Amino acid sequence: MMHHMILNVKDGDVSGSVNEMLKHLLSSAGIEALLVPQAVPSKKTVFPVLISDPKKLHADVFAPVLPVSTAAMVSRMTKVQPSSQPFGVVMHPCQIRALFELAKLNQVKLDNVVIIGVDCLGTFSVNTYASFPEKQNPTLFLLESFVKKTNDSEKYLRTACSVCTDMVPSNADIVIGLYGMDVEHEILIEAHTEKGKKLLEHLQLETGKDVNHRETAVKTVHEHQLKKYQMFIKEKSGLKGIALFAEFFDTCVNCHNCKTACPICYCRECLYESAVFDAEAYKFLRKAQTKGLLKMPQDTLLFHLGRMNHMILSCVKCGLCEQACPNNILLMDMFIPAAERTQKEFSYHPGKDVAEKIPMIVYREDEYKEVGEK
Amino acid sequence: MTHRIGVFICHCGINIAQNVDVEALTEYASHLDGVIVSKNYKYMCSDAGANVIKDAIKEHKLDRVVIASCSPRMHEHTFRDVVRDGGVNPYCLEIANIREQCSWAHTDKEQATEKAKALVRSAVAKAKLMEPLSTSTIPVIPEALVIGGGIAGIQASLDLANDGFKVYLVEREPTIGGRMAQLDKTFPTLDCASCILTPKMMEAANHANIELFTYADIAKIEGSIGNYTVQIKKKPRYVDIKKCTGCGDCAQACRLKGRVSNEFDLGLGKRGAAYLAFPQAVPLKYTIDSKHCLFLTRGKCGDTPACKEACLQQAINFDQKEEIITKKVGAIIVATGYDLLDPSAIYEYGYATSADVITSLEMERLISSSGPTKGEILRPSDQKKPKSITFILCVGSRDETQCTWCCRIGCMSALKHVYLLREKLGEDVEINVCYTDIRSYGKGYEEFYRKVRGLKTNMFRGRPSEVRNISGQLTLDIFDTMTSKLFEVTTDLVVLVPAIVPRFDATAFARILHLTQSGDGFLLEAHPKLRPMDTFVNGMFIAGCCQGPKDIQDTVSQASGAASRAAIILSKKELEIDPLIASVDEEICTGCGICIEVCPYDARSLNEKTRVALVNDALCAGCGGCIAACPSNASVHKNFTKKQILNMVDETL
Repeated sequence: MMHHMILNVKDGDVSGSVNEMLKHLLSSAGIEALLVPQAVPSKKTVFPVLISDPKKLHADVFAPVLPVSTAAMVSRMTKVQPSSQPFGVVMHPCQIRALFELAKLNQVKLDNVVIIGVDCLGTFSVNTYASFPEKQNPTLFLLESFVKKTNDSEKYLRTACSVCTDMVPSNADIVIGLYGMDVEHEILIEAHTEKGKKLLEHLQLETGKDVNHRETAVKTVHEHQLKKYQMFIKEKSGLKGIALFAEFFDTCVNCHNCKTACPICYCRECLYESAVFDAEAYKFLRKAQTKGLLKMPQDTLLFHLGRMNHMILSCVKCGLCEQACPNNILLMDMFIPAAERTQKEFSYHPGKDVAEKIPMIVYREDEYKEVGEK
Repeated sequence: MTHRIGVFICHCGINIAQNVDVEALTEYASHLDGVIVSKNYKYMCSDAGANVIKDAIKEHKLDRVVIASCSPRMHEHTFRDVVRDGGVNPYCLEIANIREQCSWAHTDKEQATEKAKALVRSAVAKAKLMEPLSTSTIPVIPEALVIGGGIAGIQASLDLANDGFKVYLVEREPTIGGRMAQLDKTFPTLDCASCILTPKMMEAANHANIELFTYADIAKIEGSIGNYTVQIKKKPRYVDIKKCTGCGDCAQACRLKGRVSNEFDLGLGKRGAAYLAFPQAVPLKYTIDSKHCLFLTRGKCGDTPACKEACLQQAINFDQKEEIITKKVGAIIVATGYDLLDPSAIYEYGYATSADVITSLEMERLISSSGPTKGEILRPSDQKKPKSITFILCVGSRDETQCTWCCRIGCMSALKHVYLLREKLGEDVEINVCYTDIRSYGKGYEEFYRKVRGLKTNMFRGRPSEVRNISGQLTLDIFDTMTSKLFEVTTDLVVLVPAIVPRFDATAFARILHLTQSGDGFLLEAHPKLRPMDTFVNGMFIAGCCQGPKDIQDTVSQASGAASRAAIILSKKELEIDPLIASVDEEICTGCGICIEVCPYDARSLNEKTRVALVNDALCAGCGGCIAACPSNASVHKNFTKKQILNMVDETL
């Protein structure tokens, strides 16, 4: 199911043209609201904003910043019960993957949700975006760097983005495509599902135009990113053994921000914040006596091991955990290689297809024979 | 709230006391936080030991009890009753296993004592957090399902039916009788198998309390002990069994008469597409084999199907469809029997390539007077009487490359064949037996073995390396380890005694019933010694060879045992449910549903409205799968909470 159209860019204003198209969708396509990235008044960042009045829509869909997980916001809206009215969400590819993982875990109901995916050119950290040094709007800077193929934006990218291999949201209902397009004049608008196609029928866009060069461009950028990804994995895979693991988290203050930022960490009450770990003073003292000393807080490593154990198979490598760390612990250095290995073990592709079951609930007779009975 | 804990340490005769300083341990425990009293006794599980506990509970007003003894698998139940009698909630008991995990595992008494202290310390830590639990009850449906209509299933059905319970006996073949019906005589008494089996088959079929479902499979089983819902799938036999009189006119008329291989005779005889497995079949109703019947496979059999024309009762009905029948039962007995290893797996014996290499069950059919040769011993290749017959025992049994286990009946069945062959063929025929060891362990078995040895039987202790077939002449080399000599034996007929293996579909079947298999593939009993007929699914029992190889004597005993175990459930109006099961913290559960998917007992579900997972107390077996799978602490195992376990760990570190 592929159905593509061309959005003509007016006066080289890429974001503005997309905003106009979204306005059109909101006012005429029968959807109640759009959840879009939109700048806060200070312009220091963008947040997902749920907009029902087309006049108030000033989306900045290419803004290179992801302060909170969009998927988590959709979870807030739909986990109690499916939405009875249709609404659209503009998302980065990693957030669509997170959304699908949450849907598998019953934390998101996708009924009446139209996913509008944006070709991702990468994002900067919240701090970088807020005090962007180039004295220019970061979105314009990013698009200019893309158009001129200067790689100027690369040095600002978050680690997760700089090694990301899934920049094209092919699992969305509607894709807003940049790769392979002459974006100063044309943007690709593509329906990947029946739901998306129906919505696009409300737009009077040019159809039938040949976009064969897109496929090649997507392939090229994917190959380029894959090389970077593989190098990253190779470089970071040395982190083995409890000593290195402990050292990695040396500066962790156990604030659990990584957990809060993670789109997929979905527990109502985190086990590591529950009363399970409360203990009497004599136990602390006895532990101190056993080795002569006890570092406090004591359950930091257990928390990270537990979080990794719970999340690693569903990890979509969005890097929001790393962005949230107040002490700049490079969590991606650990999570990306670990996710790569574990997901490969189960031939699992988190977030790719909402119908693919999470490995925890799949019984395969032939797996891990070396562990169980013969 | 602080609890009043009593610690009771068992010597287990010298089992514990010889390696653990029980006096020092008692002294140590008495100083632990929360412990009011600490005592030791020679046998805590004895009546006198129980009184030590009960008296201390009264004297010291204890509300939590820790017993340091053997594994809880052994005596947890005993001790629960003791503390209940003493006035403490039976689930406020914690056992520290200082026998299997301590005195038996270590030789250094000092270190073992230290470890025992740690185990007691951690049990006390858990006891402080234990909650009193109460059992709930569920009503029991006083009816049973028996799966498999061999001798085990028949015996179990009859016992239950005679106890007054309604029984549904389901057999997948068109007749009950199973393997035993294929046998000629039984060892060591040489009773005619049919003569002792047929009356039982008739009794089962005619019993007012037994409803028979032949040619039927189990499609689905849901529910739990006391209240199972069973779907029985009746396959179409294309004969109306209400009308069929068993006259056999259809089989006589069938155009394929004598052209279809008869599985009852293991392919040595022929039948038609309309057939009766054997003359004593119960029910005495014909079946039309849909795999071969011309009308059913090609849609045409002459102008009208010959059987239909021949049947005066108009019992033939080609419009019959598969039928699902639902029954509710309180207990289930599984008696699905065994398969024989296909000896072609051991290619060097040439079973697949030489017609005159046969199995012991095929020999059984040759000897049987109702068999394909009417009891005459004729070699399959040329229908001539053999002058030399050689038995090879342990074909695939006790063999690392095939089945490591002993088939338990091979030796005796071969000796029986030798005896019967001597009777039929006289002294002139040479009979060789190649054996590994003769295992004649049963009552009267050794005496039978001696008798057969005296019948001019050449006994070779060893396994032949191969059976060579040189233009129809069978030759084998056998190194006899008794005389350390190599013999070359030329023979006319080779009888292989193959291993007993689980049914080909045992794994799929076990999955339908949620039963466990042991490493060999047979169904696993709950305890090899103390609960040999029970399974890990409450209310399901196993009997006969589905659990492991055994002879008819043991099978019948086990079937009666299983029936008796089932009757314990069926005779009760209500059953208590063990409260040591999963529960849900509704404040924490976020309804992700992982617990539902991982539960092997279908005990978990989701309340879509509240988005909270539920536990069906009757179905939950307390396996803990959901607790491990739940990423938050919403799935909780009662009295095995994370907090309790962490407390225990904390005390041992």
